[in-house]
Amino acid sequence: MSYSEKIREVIDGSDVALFMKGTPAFVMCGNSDRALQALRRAGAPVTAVDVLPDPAIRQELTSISGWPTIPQVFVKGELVGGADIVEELEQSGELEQKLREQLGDDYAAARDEATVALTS
Amino acid sequence: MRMRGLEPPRPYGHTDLNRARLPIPPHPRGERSVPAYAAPNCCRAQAAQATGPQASPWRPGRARYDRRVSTEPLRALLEGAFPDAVELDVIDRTGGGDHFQVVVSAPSLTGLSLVEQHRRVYEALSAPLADGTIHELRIKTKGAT
Repeated sequence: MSYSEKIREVIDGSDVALFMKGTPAFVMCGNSDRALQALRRAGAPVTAVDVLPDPAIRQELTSISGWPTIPQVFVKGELVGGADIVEELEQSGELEQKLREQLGDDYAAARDEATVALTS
Repeated sequence: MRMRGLEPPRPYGHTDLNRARLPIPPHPRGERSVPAYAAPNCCRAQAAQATGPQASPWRPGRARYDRRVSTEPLRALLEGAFPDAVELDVIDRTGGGDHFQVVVSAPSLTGLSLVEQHRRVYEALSAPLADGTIHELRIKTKGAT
């Protein structure tokens, strides 16, 4: 399966997909960390993908989303934004509201964090 | 490879190289060089004025890094893309000339989602983003009336 198929699968198949540099256990970039922390504060069930193992992942992702930078956050397949937007939405409470609308009121109950590797 | 004797002293030891790089200005002082993509005619004229008779050549040790040199080309691009902006600011966050904070508030952004608003900024700055001038970009956008 190609990267672009795998990326689409994660975007469409995850409640909250976070494409980041590093993993939640070992974040490799300050902005990825800002996005991750904001999502954690909102209690989002994050599925994280590390884009660093292969530069092609990042290229494919950008051609799919049309967003030039990392991190990128998707909720139910829809691009929410990068670190600045996610942080801003979290602070204003809109992120929680969006998660509630998209995932249901009890979205924070699961509170699981998964990491998906695209390289095999 | 060291064979014997003393190793020459390192001015800053094994620390962050940026510190050693700081006193060196990114562009020659005599004429302010604005990248071609960032220089519509009006901004060239301003640049020429700014480097009038009072412009002095760069002297080592005294000259300080001028943050405006790195932010002005970006500001010019944004002013071109958002001629209606009521607030427009470019901040060099680290003084290194590659980490920027951009603030844009414009009526043309009103009604767009944040994703769309940020996309407009990315489009305006696509040249410096592509050539690596911008290493990191933080964006804050707002609609305006």
